[in-house]
Amino acid sequence: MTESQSVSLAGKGIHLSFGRNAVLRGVDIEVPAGKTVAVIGPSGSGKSTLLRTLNRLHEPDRGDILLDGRSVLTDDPNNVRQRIGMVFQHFNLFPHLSVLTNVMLAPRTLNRLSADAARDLALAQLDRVGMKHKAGSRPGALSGGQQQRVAIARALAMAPQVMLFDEATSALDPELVKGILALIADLGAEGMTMLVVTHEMGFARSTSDSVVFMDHGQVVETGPPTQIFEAAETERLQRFLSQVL
Amino acid sequence: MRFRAGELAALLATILLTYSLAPMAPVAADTNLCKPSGQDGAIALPSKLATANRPRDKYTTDDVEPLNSVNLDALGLRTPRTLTVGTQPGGPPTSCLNSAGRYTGYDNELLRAIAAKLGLQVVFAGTEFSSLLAQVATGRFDVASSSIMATEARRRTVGFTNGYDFGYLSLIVPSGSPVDTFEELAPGQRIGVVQGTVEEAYVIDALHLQPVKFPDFTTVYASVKNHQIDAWVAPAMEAASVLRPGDTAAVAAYTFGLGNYVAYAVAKDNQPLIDALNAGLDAVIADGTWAQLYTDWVPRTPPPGWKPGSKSALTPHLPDFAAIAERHHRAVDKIPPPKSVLTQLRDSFFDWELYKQSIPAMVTTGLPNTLILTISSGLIGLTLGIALAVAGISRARGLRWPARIYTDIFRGLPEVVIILLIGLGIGPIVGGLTNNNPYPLGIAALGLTAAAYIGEIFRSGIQSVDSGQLEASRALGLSYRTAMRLVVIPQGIRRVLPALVNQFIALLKASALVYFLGLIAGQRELFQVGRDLNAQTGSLSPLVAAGMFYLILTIPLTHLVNFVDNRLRHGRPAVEPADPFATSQEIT
Repeated sequence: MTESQSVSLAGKGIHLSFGRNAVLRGVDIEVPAGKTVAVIGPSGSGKSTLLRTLNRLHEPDRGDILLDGRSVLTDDPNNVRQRIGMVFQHFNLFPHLSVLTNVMLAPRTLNRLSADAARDLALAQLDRVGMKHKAGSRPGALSGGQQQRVAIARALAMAPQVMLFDEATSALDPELVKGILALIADLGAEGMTMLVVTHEMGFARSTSDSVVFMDHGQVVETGPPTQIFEAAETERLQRFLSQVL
Repeated sequence: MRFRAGELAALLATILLTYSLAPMAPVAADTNLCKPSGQDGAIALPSKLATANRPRDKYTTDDVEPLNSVNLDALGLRTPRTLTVGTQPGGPPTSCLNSAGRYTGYDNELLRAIAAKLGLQVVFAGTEFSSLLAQVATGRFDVASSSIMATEARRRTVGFTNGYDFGYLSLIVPSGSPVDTFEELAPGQRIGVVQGTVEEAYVIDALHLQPVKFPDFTTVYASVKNHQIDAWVAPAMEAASVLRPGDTAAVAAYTFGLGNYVAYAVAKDNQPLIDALNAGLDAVIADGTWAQLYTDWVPRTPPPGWKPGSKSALTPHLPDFAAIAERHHRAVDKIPPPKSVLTQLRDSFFDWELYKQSIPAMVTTGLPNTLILTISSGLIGLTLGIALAVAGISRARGLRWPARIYTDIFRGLPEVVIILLIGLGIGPIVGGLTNNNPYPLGIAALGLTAAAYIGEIFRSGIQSVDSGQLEASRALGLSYRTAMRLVVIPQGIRRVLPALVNQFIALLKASALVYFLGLIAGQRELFQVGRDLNAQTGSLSPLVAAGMFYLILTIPLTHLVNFVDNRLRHGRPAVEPADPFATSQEIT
């Protein structure tokens, strides 16, 4: 990562508490345009909360959120979220709508696309994730891996400038994980800016441009994968890696 | 003949229904009424008693067979040489259970004396009046003894002995009413009666008017006092017991109702028993026992031309009760007349004549009214219920709390209570708006109650939608409102469809409760139509017919619930990790 790269999404000194429980304690994070940043760390370290704060599903108590270098804390949060796609651990597809309608819903409602335009767009995104053949199905009829593919297409349909992945493979059976990780890696290779919270250390090591290690609501170490995984500086990261690898 | 379990259950249900308001019955001033008052309690005949329209007596026998020719083994008794007697123990001084546990009162003591003359044992059993005639007709009892007015209608169900007492009606009007006589009652006036009674039959058959029917004396009297109805035709004794000095209603007139006398009811086909009891009655009149018991228990001046027993029975010698009453300054309207007469039941569930009678009225009147009541109150409940659900999950305390309180109150009260409170309490306030018509109030009461349940159904449905759904919608950039409208609420509603259909079924059944408010003929719903005919004839067949209509409506709905439930359960499985069969495709 060099200074010349433009930063797409950044959090500056983010603090967030739920009641007396301080979940984020001054987090600084930068996602350069076109890069993939992986966030690793033990459960409860604040990784998922950080993602939800960056797209303002949670409002930070203190700190700033920048998109393309500009603070978006005073913007309409709905507009901010339209620029940031998010994929969830449990897919969260809308079970009462078909796969196609799941993907069409936001473009049709928010971008005021015509039904035909929204359908074409949705089918293109479904094709991108290899799910065009299931456009007419209900989410309930799909496997977990298939559902996560649709969820990715749903997020992509809004043409976000950044994608957030919140443990996107954690709820999948082991044999399905590989396919989804490959899809995410493909997106990265196409130039998508991504912030990926993951427990898959192999993925973080092979695919990300930069790795952020979080513990107790703070960023403990940041660096390229080789540095993080082979030359951990802090005792906390070393201990974490020894537990998960 | 014995009762089958089903019949007993049906009887019990009817009894419970009839007496569900029993605790509201007026409390008598004197707590120990089940003892003879003696001639000191004498009452004169009211001066305002109209005698002109007494029906012609065509049933009193000219003569009786000699007492010694009665064949005690041919009386068709349940137990040989024993009279099994059914009595309603809540009607002092004519029939009651005293503190010593003896079924006594004028009617019962007289029956004991008659049985003694005949040489029969007597066994009493207490029962509810509504089922008394039915139980005599089916042979559960040999005789019913409960101040039963021998009317034409009842003669279709049971037989009667000669008379041993009489009764008359009073006309109660609100203060300031111009109505002073029964003759002034006219179509267009709202005339209240308690349903199933001789007063109801009197208004319909003798006055040829359509009465407004009420379930009990308290309700009808409350309606007179607050001018909801123009008059109440009441049995004089019950009226005397609920009227209090200073009330905004008064007795305007007295009259004789249908039937000439009070008599013992016996199974219709058991003429030998009727003949034997008639012989015994004449015998106790002849030896002075009748006069003694009459003077002890019900000392009041008999109406002119009336005497107990057959036409050839001796005219009993009675003290001058009017003079005694004069000495004691007794109110003339304190005369104990016959007891309230409630529903009569026959054991037969399948009286085809009654089916033929009741089904057309149910199709033309009952069914449309039931549907109007259910659908209108359902729409009110649905609209208000959605509002309550939205307020209930709102973040604003000012919305959440009122919704919570409303729901707690309307869900916590019995529907009957709400219907009575709204119908009788709000009725007078909005009387101008509703033209004193209880129908809209019944719809309002049902709708307001349903709203509390429907609101909770919606609220739980919406809240049961996984929070990830709202989160995912918002992450896409949808506003809270849009996310709720397009994603959360549609799923919530789908989820509660079965519960909503169940609520609609409950509402359909609850619509029968509007009968508590008193409905005119054209407003009667299914239950009331069945109940009316049931009350008139004593047969359960009309209620069975009404029940079948309810089932025709509810059973398809029940199956619709199951279908919807099934589809929601299995047609669209919940979001789950992949099943093993889908994996091979996924790995490629």
